Amino acid sequence: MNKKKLGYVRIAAITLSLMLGTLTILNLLTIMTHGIEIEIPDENQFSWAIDPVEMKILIITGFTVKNHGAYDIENIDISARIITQEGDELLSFQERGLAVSSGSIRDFDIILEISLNDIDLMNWLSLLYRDTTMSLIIDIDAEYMFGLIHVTVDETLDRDWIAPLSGYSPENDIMPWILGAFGYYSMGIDQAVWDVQRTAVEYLMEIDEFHYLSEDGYEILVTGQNYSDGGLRELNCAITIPVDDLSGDILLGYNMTFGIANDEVIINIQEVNITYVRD
Amino acid sequence: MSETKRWISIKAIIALFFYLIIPLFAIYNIITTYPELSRERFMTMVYWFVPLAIILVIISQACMYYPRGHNMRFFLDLIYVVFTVLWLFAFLGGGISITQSWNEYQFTLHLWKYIAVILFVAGFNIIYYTLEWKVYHKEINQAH
Repeated sequence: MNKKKLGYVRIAAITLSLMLGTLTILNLLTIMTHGIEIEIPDENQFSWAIDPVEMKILIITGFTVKNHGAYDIENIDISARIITQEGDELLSFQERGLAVSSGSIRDFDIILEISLNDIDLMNWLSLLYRDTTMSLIIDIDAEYMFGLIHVTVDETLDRDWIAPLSGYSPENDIMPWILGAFGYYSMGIDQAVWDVQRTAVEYLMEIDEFHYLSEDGYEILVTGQNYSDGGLRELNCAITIPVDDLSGDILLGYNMTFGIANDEVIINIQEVNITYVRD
Repeated sequence: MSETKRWISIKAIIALFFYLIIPLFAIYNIITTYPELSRERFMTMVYWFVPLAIILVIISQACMYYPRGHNMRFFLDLIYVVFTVLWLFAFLGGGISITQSWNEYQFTLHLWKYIAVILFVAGFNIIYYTLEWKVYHKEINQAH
């Protein structure tokens, strides 16, 4: 190799070194000084909407990314899930391939849909009366500086959930058994438990009609009737839960047959449904 | 004026500014502009990269006393590359990832691709210095 060719190699080496040094000083300091900001909404920045035709509850929120860095943020993949302490998934959200150009501020909308038609009733109904801890699991991936820097967020934020019917002190003895029957479905209470709680079944079999209306609008209506000649009873229960944010009520209903045959407790959930009614 | 007659070499002056003065000024500016940021992180960076920057300036200056092709010059050039890589690692916080807090979320910056580029550039520089040593070393031998 002669000196002329060596000169070219030297120019290339110096250029690469300067580029690398500039990237290091300017861009890493930009990131470290919050040159890239992500504003995530707090709990007050959530809004609700109802789609009565599609029977969907929409939870609307969003976040803002401010990119004051020198390069675009690309391939932003976001996934979020809300799960209960027991591991039941209530909501999930996923977006892929988002981007924020250099020098721009971009708002991203997050719309979480809860479809009342195919909602996982077991998980949601149990939230009526069961305190738990909600975990918001957030997973974000993004690329910066031509993909040389990979940004990840893997966070789990816990929030305590106080059930609307938690701590309720019934004035009437019937309430625990109604909620207990409800719990049978939503919590999957084992048959053996009901065998022990034979008194509860016997109590429920005595119900012809029960109505409860709380001061804050919770309403429970139960009607009971003979189901068959085999001694079974049919119980229809309708629970109305007022939700101010939705300007309406969520109606939960279930129908069950039960009784005691051959000295064994029989419990059959016939139907469970959930509907929304606007005020 | 020949290079050997200067009190300090141009390479040493560039190293002084690029590896020491500019980063120190930038960090001072960040600490004063963003008092909410952890000083500990930046002080750790300073603790590591300042001595390395001083070593790089000394090596740059020492290179002035040996002509290209000289074995000592080749050795100094190689350790200059090595210490430059160490300086960059110090500037990155000493690891392949940086954890940064935004709001209540912990963001992690994974830098392994970036470090791969650093190693590539370092390798390219070593190749260059090796070629330079071969070309000029041959010249020195012919002169003798």
